[in-house]
Amino acid sequence: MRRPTTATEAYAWHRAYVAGQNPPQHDGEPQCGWFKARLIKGGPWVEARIWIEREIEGNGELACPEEYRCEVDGMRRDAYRMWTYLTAISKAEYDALLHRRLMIPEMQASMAKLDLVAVPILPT
Amino acid sequence: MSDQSNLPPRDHNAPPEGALPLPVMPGEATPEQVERAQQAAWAATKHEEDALQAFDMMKQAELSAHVAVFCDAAGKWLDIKIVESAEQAERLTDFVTGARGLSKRVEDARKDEKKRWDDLGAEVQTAFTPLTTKLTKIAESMKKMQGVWLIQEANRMKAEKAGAERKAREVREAAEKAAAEAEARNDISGQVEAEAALIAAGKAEKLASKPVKSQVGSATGGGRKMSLRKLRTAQIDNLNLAFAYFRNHAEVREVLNRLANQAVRAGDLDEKNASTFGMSIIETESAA
Repeated sequence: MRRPTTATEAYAWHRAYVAGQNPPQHDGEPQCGWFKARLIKGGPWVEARIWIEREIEGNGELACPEEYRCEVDGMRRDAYRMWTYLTAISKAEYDALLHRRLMIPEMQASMAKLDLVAVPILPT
Repeated sequence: MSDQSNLPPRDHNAPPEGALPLPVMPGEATPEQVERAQQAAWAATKHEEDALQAFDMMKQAELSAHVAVFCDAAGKWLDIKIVESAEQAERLTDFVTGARGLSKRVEDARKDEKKRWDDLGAEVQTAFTPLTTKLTKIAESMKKMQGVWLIQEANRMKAEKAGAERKAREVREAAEKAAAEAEARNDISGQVEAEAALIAAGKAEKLASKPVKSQVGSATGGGRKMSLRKLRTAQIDNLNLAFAYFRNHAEVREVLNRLANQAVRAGDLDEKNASTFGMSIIETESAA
């Protein structure tokens, strides 16, 4: 059986990206981390994250293969398909985005194009 | 019947035989010509009851017929090529006066037709211009505020970059020194470690030297990214030198010519002082 991937290994790509090191990014090779995405062109940012799901036995080894899981706008999505459309952000930015989506009602309609003309965005 | 015996012969006023042909005075377009033009104009319209006509087609057609008559007459004048008698010249004066009169009628009609659109256009301008002015002012003020933030961020990023570069350089220098020392004491293990540290330091230095750009994205995702934009403009410190640089440009000559013509008309520039400033006065004559 394989040993589970450590958090340091799983989030290495995300850490390097956020640090501005421009790590390689390939289609079909998702990486764990926090992201933002637009579900439609001109739509609001929605939060997204990718993590690894696995079962670990008592001896610390994997009970089954590790699987990438992805959640975009609170819904489970295919990590391999969504990976291309995600922009990595820091955890702090991810939390701020979640908060902002609660504060700005227009951002809650994730499948509607944002109309910034309809309601002015205020400083707070 | 009255006695007509003391009157001159009937043909006393007729031009002598072999005299120069005189072009006819154009006069007004005949009612038939006007009607024909109006019918053609009516046929050309769409006849939609609610169609908005830009101008009175009938009035324009009437004027158009008159203009056509004047064009024909002008053609006859051009056929004679040169004015050869005083009478022709006097007739030409009348023709030109008539053409000017018709031109005035056309111009008055055009102004009259255009006025209602101008008035409506002015109303539109009055209604909308303040709105765009306000929004432009808003954008300008906000851009100024954003500019302050962007400059502040740019300075911070520049300072951070300088710090990272300095740190990376120090690490590289330390690694180089360690490699040299390991080589001096024939320490293979130390040399390999120092080389690895040197490679890492090179990577860190390359990363630190990456250009940084201050920019602000959209909070919601719907806005356009904003960043600092450099605008390069020239300020003239020495007008004479600047003039010497641009002296061969055609636009410079045009501007100077315009200013000189204004000065001549105002009487500031005349035959006495024109040569002092490298100019001369040219007088040309034309009929007016």
